[in-house]
Amino acid sequence: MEKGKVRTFFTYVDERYMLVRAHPAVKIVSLVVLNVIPWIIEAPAPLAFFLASLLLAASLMKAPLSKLRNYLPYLLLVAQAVVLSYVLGSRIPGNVVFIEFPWGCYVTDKTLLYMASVVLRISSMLVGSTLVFLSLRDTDVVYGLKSLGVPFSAAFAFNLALRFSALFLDDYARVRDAMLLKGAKLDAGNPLERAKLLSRTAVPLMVIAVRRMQDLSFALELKGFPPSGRRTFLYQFQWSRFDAAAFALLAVATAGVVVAKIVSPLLSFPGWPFV
Amino acid sequence: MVDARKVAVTAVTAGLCLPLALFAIILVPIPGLPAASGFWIPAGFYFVMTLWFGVWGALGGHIATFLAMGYFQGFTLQVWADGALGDLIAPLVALVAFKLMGARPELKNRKDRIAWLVGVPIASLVCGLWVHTVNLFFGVITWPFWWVGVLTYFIGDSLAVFIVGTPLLRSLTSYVKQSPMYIWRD
Amino acid sequence: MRAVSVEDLWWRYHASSEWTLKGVDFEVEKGEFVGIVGPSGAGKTTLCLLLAGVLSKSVKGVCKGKVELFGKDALRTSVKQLSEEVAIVLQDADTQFVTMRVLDEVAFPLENFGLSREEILERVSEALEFVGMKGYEWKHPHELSGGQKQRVAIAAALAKRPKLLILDEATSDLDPLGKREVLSVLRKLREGYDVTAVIVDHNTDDLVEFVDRVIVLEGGRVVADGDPRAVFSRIEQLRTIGIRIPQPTELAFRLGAANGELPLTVEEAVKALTPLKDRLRLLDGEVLENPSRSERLVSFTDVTYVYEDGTVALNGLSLNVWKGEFLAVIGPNGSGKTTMAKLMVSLLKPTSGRVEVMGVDSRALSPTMLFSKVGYVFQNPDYQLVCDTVYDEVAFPLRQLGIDEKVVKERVQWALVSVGLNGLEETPPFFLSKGERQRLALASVLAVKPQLLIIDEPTTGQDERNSRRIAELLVQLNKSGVTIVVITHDLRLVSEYAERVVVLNNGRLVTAGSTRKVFTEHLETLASIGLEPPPVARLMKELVGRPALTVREVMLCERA
Repeated sequence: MEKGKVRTFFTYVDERYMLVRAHPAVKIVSLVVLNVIPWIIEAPAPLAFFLASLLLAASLMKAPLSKLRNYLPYLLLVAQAVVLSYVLGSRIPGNVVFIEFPWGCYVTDKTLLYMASVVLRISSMLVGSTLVFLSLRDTDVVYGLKSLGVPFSAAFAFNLALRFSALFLDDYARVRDAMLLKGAKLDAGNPLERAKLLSRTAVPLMVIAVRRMQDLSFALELKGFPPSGRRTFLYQFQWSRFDAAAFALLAVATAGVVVAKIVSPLLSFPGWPFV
Repeated sequence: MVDARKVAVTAVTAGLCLPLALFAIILVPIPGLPAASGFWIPAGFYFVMTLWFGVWGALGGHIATFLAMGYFQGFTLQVWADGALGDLIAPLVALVAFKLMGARPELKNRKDRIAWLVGVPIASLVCGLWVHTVNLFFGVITWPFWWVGVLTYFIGDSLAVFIVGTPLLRSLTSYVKQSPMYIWRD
Repeated sequence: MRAVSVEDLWWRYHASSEWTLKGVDFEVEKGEFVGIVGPSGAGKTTLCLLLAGVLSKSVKGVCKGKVELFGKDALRTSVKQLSEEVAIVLQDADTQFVTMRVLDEVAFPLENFGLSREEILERVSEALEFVGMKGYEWKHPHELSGGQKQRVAIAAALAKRPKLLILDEATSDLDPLGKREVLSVLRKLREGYDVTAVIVDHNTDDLVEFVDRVIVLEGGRVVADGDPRAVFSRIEQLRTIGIRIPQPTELAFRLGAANGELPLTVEEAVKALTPLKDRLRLLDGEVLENPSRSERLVSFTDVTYVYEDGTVALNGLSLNVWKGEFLAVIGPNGSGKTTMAKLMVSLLKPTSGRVEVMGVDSRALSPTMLFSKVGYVFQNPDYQLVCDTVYDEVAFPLRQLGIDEKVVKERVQWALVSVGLNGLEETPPFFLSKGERQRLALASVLAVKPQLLIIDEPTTGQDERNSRRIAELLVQLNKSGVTIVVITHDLRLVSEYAERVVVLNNGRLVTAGSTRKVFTEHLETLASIGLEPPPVARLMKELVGRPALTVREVMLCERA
């Protein structure tokens, strides 16, 4: 491992990224809040402000913003889907009508604002989630969920899923190889034949899965799982000033957004979401 | 209570379905739609796991969908609320259909087969309705496209479940019945 | 003090009409190390899981009799309570690794028991030190070899400070180096750890070093129980049951060198046979390299293969596979054996160099083009079984070739008879035992009558009877003209059946030649890469300065 890097769930990040050292509960709460806030806000200007604030905060926390580049193709696809959807399939009244279609849909100035809103919303959620996920270490999901009251068994299943997905990835490759070596033309022939052959690969995968399930349940029981009394958690996370400040900021932001939504039209878009 | 067996079912189902979900997104993409697939292979697996092992199988499918879609789209509320939750609801609907009709996953008799032939499309339809209504609330699609989304979801999911799930149920239920995690009592 | 008491134990799985255990009776004293051997299906794993208290509570079945562990009724005490005193290490190193890091894995059971943090850290450190994995605390499972994973599993078991440690075929799936790593831990346990142990293993050559007693299970019953020397002296009976006899024991027995005390290890055998040293001669074994082979089936010319992650699996490999030969490919894990096999069936294309299969560049071939000429049997047959019945499984590749159903039927029958599975045509493959599934996978490949058969680890995890059955089948096929390439860690198999050996290490060819030549002239080289020739080779090298390949060679000489 490179010096100065910390291993997280999916990648390595700079150890200076402040969120990496945050309490797991802060990370889980951030994940939720950074998705809920853009969902509450409908209007494009506040969404743009939120996104810009998020990026600024991330930069100040030394987040690996370059990793966000991986999601650019997705964002472009979303923007494309949104544009298609709204241009061809919406009737949002506005001040200026740009195009009118024979099937009754039309594009106005408000349509463009609407489209901008949606793209900004999805972008904000994506940026927020990604920045949190980049900071998540192996233990954070279990400890974070546990500290928020989720039963340990449930949180642990999530970690186990990731552990086993690597094993099954390997299994799938071997089953596929085995099919090819039996003469199954998986990449040629008509789609129905290929689908039938591919569906045959499901059988060995499932047999292996069911066997693993049994062995895993034995292994867990023999390791004293699930714990019936008080369970010790090896890792201890201390609450820091950063954590307290983060919680406070998230709480204030959420409350502020909810209040603003209720008392003023600032965050709202007329007719949302039924257009 | 969440015991080791239930955790094992969830974890193994999720572990099994996650790579399949990633493959499905890469192999059969829908042009213009990110992290969507025209043939949702893992559905065949988690439907079957749910019919064999109950709610814990569905939970495994839910986790797999969230992680797979999130890998491409980011782990957002939208991804969780539409695809992942939808894929939790769908197999449970099929399970309820089997329970209500008194059918069994072996697909041995007419009742079993009808439950399968009816339960799966209903489940896929419910899932499609859920996913695209959620997308509507997130603003990703508009009403005129809502029904297009529902229809394509219904067809894509049902096909995958029938093609992948049917041979699994027919071939393996007699083997899986020996497992203590099998939920049906003879 | 009695650690384990099993009284008239019967167990039947719910879905089965047959009892898996039939009145098993035995006791284990505190501090004793007991080995359990038996053919596949004898009930060894079932017995282990009943001892650990988990089977009777988790699996539907009928149980009669009594199991007591340190005075507690194991059939009625909760698994949780028992798990504080009993630890078990299972065969599959991957499935039992339930966390993402070594440290977490060893700490996991202790956390579940609610021990204090300080105690957990102390025990984890102690356990990792004991198994030689200190410094690996932050490693992830995919960064560990099979042997390392099993050592972590043992550490997790030892951290509980169990009174009873059960090892259920913990080394079966490991390569020789991995086995050695685990066995060295067992050695340490034997020497200075306060624990009672039950060890299940097919490999009796290794097992005898660690056990005070051996119990033989067959068909769910105890058929022998006693001192290893006494048990293993019943050679014919054990052979019939399908149990591998330690080679030093077998040799000494046949030479009549025992004087009442059969040796179990090479060291003991050297002492026992030294008086006979001058009378011992070695004849060249029956398996000789055929120098007249000249038709190349596969050739590797300066082949390099680099995986996507940068791992260099093969590095400038050049070798030939000759038509009609029985070739063994050996080497430690990561040496490139499987990569080489995949290149031969065109699953992979060389990064550089050239692979020719039957005269055609493999780059112009695909697995679906080659499968009727080159058959490949995986180590784990479960990857290859995709159909609903045994018949359909064997018929599958024939139907891909578009062969007429009448011919398909004949070929399927022939293949099933060849592997001894005739009569099971309508059985679903996953209901078969592991040995049967292995033979079924082989049958499905044989049905297309390939010219070259590549078989990966055919005897790993198999009992002696199945191993011999498969080996003898391969010999018959070879005699009928099929070229055989076996990838294996089982050097006894290599000694007894292979005509020629190729040794790989780190993607390079270390040596190649007749089995006799490689095992005679390159013993040190093999040892340096973690490959230990069979005990009889080491034994005869000590006694007469030349290794033997089989017990038979030494026996023949004695009679002459």
